[in-house]
Amino acid sequence: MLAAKPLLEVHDLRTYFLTDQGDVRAVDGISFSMNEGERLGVVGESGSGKSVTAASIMGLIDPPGAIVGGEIRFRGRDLVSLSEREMQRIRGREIAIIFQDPMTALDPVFTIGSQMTETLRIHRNMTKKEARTVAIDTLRDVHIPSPEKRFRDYPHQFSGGMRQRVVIAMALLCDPTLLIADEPTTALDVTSQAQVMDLMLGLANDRGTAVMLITHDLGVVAGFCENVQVMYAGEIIERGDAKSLYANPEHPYTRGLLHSVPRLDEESKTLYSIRGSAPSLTTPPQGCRFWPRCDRATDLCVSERPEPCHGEDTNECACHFAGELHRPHQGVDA
Amino acid sequence: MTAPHTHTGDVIDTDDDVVLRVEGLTKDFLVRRRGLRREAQHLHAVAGVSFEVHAGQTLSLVGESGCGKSTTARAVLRLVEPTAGRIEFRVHDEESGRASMVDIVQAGAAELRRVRRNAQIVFQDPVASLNPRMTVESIVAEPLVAYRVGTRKERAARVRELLEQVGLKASHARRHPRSFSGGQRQRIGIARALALRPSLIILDEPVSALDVSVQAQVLNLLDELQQDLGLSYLFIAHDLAVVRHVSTDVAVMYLGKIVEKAERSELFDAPLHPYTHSLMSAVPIPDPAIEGYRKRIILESDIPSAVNPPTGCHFRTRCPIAEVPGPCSELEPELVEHAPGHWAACHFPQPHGWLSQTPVSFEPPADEAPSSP
Ligand SMILES: Nc1ncnc2c1ncn2[C@@H]1O[C@H](COP(=O)(O)OP(=O)(O)O)[C@@H](O)[C@H]1O
Ligand SMILES: Nc1ncnc2c1ncn2[C@@H]1O[C@H](COP(=O)(O)OP(=O)(O)O)[C@@H](O)[C@H]1O
Ligand code: SF4
Ligand SMILES: [Mg+2]
Ligand SMILES: [Mg+2]
Repeated sequence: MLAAKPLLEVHDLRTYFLTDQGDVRAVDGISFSMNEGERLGVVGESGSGKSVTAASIMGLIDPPGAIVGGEIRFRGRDLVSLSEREMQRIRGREIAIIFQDPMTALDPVFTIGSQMTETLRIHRNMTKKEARTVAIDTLRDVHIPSPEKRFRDYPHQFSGGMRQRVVIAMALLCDPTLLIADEPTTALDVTSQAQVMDLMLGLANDRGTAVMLITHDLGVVAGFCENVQVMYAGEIIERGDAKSLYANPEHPYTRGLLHSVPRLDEESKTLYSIRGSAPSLTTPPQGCRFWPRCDRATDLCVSERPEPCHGEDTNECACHFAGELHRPHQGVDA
Repeated sequence: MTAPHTHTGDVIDTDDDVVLRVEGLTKDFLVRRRGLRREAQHLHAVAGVSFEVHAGQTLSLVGESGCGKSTTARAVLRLVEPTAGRIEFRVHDEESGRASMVDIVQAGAAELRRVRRNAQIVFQDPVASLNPRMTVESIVAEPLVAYRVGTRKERAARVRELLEQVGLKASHARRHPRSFSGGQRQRIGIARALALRPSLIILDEPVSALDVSVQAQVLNLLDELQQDLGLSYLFIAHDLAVVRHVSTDVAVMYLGKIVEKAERSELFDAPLHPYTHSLMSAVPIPDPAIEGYRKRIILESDIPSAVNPPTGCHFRTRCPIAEVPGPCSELEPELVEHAPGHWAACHFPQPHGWLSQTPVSFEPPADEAPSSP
């Protein structure tokens, strides 16, 4: 059987920030791929390299940052070697990105209608009238009430949740193949978050758009993604299909994270807590980057880096003891 | 419910375990409307809130941003002046050994000072608003200095003890908090709040800015401190899962009012108010198997303005089962006790399990058809 060609292939990507204090190895040798229509979750705590991964794919890394190694192939083309002009054509049209703060995508001095029609006229060569129709339809798709009226409103006239839905509408105007959503609901209340995630799920299903959902919230990923990868200190330390990753996390960090979240459906007593905090990315620990915080660490972990996730199998884990830690439905030994 | 009281001016003897009793707390802000006619309007940030915090227990206030949680917290300590209401706080007289309730709203300067010594508040980032030149030592010692507790040397020793109590090192005392991580800054804030040995700590979103692994550390610390020191907490958060974890009792707020209030398990196992149901259904659970079958209640419209809240029930513009026009738009539902200690303000409370395999039903039960008001 012939496997479908992946939409996105990232191979050994390294994005560093070259600062006076040394190189910040924000993304340090990650490999993964995404298929057409796939919904992939990228989870990790702040500073783990999620946003830098997204910015690398979008060609939005500015000095002192630089992609110092690796490949990013989108439909077979290596994005790293493209010129800024070629990249501009891909951004927005084939790959769209939305951020935590919707105002990064909106101009406060123009109505959302004029911003949307502008995009359609530039990227899709539409007449003003065609653009207006498409824009209003898209606003309706993202459940903005009375879209004909709201079309003439300015961004500040929308609530936070609605504004994020407008941004999603703008991102969808050119029917991108891949949507990268970087913490799209982090600034929203839970009820707005539920609206936005419900909407994104519906749109991804209807349009077949692949979505990379970046978030620190393990709950949001659980309801949206088929596959998940966990980042820690610039590396992907575990990836897998969502069901098995949550049910049987292999990496001690993943297990620790899952057990440290209070859950709405449980009356937990003491939470498991991972000791210490994330390491410096300038001088990360030798060996496994997680060893100083890991209950399982041995001499091997201190001296040798575990085999990284290669992005070839659905389920992979970058721990020397992957596969040996299995004890389903049990906490990490504290 | 309330134990017998004997009035002695502002001070009331007490023999129950209520540390803080808030009755009918109201706070209006005067806001100017944009546009041509810039007349002042009242924003009803807190609109008649009542609750009690019991000794050694945790009452949580939960709700979406803007519902009045922080204003309630500040008004309780008169960091903002309440517009109306009664706030009683339990103080212990060291000489007589008697406990009595002080009315914070009526309290004079000296009384208020005594209250604030016993009731401390911790914010989301307690260090952010401080002078960046202060050392950890001066931050933690500040309340001791303000209340003239101990000599300089005794204070230094107390600071060291406090730092260790919150899981920091005594050697951190001379450093500046800027160089600390979010979790460590929150520990500094907690150490400072503990300095005067308060009985009540108001925690306003203390873990909302922290990563989950650090959040777990701070929540565990708060739990240990409560056990060890017998502290009472008024815990404010927007995250229902965190609230379920920390609370003894929970009050759900919406547009300045408490819409539901109950003991923790009662509230999470048998919520009654459609807003509580909606909030709970919106909180994701980190388990794809459960998320796969859960039904979400999607509230499409936005929270109305606290300047002109809807008539009748404040929630009716977003409520999935509102009868409008009808009781929900005509009559404001009162907080009614539906089960012992379980209060809800809704004309059609929904006593259905929500986490069960069957989706939550939002049909008003047939045998309990609403009687017209
Ligand atoms: N412009 C920059 N200069 C220096 N370091 C940066 C810059 N942008 C990001 N970083 C560093 O890269 C690391 C990863 O950041 P990021 O990808 O934003 O994390 P996440 O999105 O997972 O929270 C962090 O340690 C951050 O400090
Ligand atoms: N100083 C103030 N002046 C005017 N309005 C205020 C002030 N502080 C809070 N508010 C308003 O009061 C309401 C409640 O706010 P707040 O208590 O901060 O809510 P929460 O803490 O639940 O997010 C909001 O509508 C807010 O905009
Ligand atoms: S009173 Fe009516 S509108 Fe308010 S919550 Fe109950 S059913 Fe909904
Ligand atoms: Mg980020
Ligand atoms: Mg607040």
